[in-house]
Amino acid sequence: MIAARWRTLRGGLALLAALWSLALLAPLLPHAPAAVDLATGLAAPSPRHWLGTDPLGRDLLARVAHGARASLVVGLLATLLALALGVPLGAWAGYRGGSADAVVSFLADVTLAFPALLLALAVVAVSGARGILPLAAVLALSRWARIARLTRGEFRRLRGREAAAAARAAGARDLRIVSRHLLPEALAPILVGAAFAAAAAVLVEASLGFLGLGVAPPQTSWGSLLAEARLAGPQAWWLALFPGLAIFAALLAYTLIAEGILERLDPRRQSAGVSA
Amino acid sequence: MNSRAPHSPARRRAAWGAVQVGRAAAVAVGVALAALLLVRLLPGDAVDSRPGGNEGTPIPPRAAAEARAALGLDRPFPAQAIAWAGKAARGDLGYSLADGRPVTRRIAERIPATLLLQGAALSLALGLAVPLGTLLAWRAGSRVDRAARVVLLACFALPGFWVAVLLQGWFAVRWGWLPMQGMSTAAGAGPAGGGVGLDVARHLLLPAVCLALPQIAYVARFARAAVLEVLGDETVRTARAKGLSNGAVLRRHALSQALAPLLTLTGMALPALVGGSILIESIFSWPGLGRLFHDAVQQRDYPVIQALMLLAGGATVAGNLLANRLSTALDPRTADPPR
Repeated sequence: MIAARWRTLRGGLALLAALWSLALLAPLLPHAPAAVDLATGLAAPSPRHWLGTDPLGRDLLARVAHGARASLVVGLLATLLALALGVPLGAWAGYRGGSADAVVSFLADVTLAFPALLLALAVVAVSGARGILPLAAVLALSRWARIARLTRGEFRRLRGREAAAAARAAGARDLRIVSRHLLPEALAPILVGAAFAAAAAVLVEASLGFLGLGVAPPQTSWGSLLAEARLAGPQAWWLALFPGLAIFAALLAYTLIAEGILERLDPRRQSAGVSA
Repeated sequence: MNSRAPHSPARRRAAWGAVQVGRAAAVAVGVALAALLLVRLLPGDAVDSRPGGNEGTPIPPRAAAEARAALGLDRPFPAQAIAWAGKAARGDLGYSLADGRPVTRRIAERIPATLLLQGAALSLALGLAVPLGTLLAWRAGSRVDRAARVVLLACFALPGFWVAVLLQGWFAVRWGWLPMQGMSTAAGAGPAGGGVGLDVARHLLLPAVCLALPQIAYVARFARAAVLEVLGDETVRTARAKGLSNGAVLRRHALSQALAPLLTLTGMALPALVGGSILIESIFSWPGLGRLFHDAVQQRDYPVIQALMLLAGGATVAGNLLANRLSTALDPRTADPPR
C-alpha cells in the first residue's frame, strides 16, 4: 500500500529525469539539429534516423532533443521566478493580513483575471521577448499570482498555530517565525503548486512556439516543431507525433509529481486537480 | 429571528456580499489599468506603429506631433487614462490599426462564433463528464475507478493543440471526412446535401472535441470529488435509510448537492470564452475572438489587443463573482465570510 502511494510520484520523477537526460545528452546524438540533407528529406523513422527527418532532411530526434533544452529550461526558469516572487509575497500577505494582504491579493486577482496564454501573447507581442530568460520572465508573470495565492492561504491557516504563538512568545522575530516555523509546514502544498506551474509554463511555452512567438530560430522548441509538422501535412506522421509526445510527456511528468505529493499529503484524497 | 440586530448572521452575510461585489469592481478597474499600461509600456506609440509609420518612411515630425495631439497622446498618462476610460464606458474602444474599423465592431462580429464553439465544447464536456464523475464516485475504489483515474490524469496532461493538429491532419486533410477549417462551406463550393445547420455542425465537430477533451478530464475529476463528498453526507444516509433506491438517492440528493461546486466550475469557465480558444480557433480558422486575438498579436494591432484583454479580464471577474453568488444561493453555508 505504501509502495503504491509512492508510485505516482516516482513515475513522474522518472519521466522528468528521462526528458532532462534527453535534453542534456542532445550534443552526443549522431546528427546535428540543423544539418540539412535534402537527399533524405521527409524520411520515415529508420535505423539511421530513429524519429525520421523533416522536409529539409534534418534529424527529428536531434531537433526534439535540442527543443527539449528550450522547452524544459524555459519551464524550469519560469517556475523558479514565479516561486521567487510568489512565495515571499504570499507569505507576507498571509502572515501579516490587513493592508499587506489586501494589496497582494488585489495584484494576484488582477493578474489571474487574464488567461495565461492571452497575457503571455500580449506581453510577447508588446515587448518582443524572444530569448530564453525574457520568455521565462513573461511566463512567470502570470504564474506568480497562483503561487502567491496558494502560499497566502497556507500561511493564513498556519499563523494561528501554537508553534507560531510559542515562537512569538519566545521573542522570535517575524522573519524567523515565517522562515523557520511556518515555511517548512507550507512546503508540500507550495511544491504541488510549483509542479502545476511548471506544467503550465511548458504548455504556454509550447503554445507560443507553435504560434511562432517562442524562442527565436535557429533554436527550436517542441511547439515550433509542431507548427512545422502542420505545414508538412499528415503523411509525415512522425513530424507531428514525436514533438507532441514530448510536450505530453513533460506535462504528464509534472502532473504526476504534483499528484504524487498530494497523495502523500492526504492519502484519502484524490485531488480534483489544479487548473493549468 | 431578529435579523435587524447589528451583528445578526443575515447582516453579516449581506455585508460580506457587498464586500465581494466591491472587491470584484476594484479588480475590474485594475484589469482595465493593466490593459492600458501594457500598451503604454511599448517602445513607441500608436503613431509610430501605424501602418506606414516608422517601419516604412518616417512620419514628418510635425505631422507626428499633430497626430499625437489628435489622439491625445501628448497629454499626461492620468489624463489619457481617464479619457480612455470615459470613452470605453461609452463603448468606444478606438479603431483597429489593421483595417481602421471600430474595435467594438470587430469584436462584436466575432462573439457569436466563439459562443457557439465554447458552448458546444462545454455542453460536450459537462454532458460526458458529470455522469462519468458521478459513476466513478459511486464505484469509488473499484478497478474501473482506478483505471479511469489514470486515463483522466493523462487526458488532463494532453495538450489540446497537439490533438487538434493530429485530428485535423487525419480526419480533414488525409481522409477528408470533415471540413478542415472555417465555420461553413462557401456557397456553391464543397459537398452539397444537408442544411446550413448540418454544415456548421460538421465544421464544429473537430474544434469542439479538441476544446472539450481537457475539460472532460478536469470536470469528471471535479464531479467525482464533489459527489464523493456528498455521498458521505447525512442527507444521503437518511435517504438510504428511508429505503430509496441507489438511483433515486443519486438523482434526488447527491447530484443536487454536488451541483453547487459544478456551477462554480462553469462560472470559472467563462474566461475561456475569450482566451481559452486562441490556439484551437487559429488551427481551425474558426472566426471567433481567439483567432481575432491571434491575428491582432501577429499584426501588432494594439487597440484590439487592449480591448480583448479588457474583455477577457472582465469576463473572469464577472464569472468568478457569478459563480460565487450562485454557490451562495445554492448552499447558504458558504454565505458567511471566511474566518
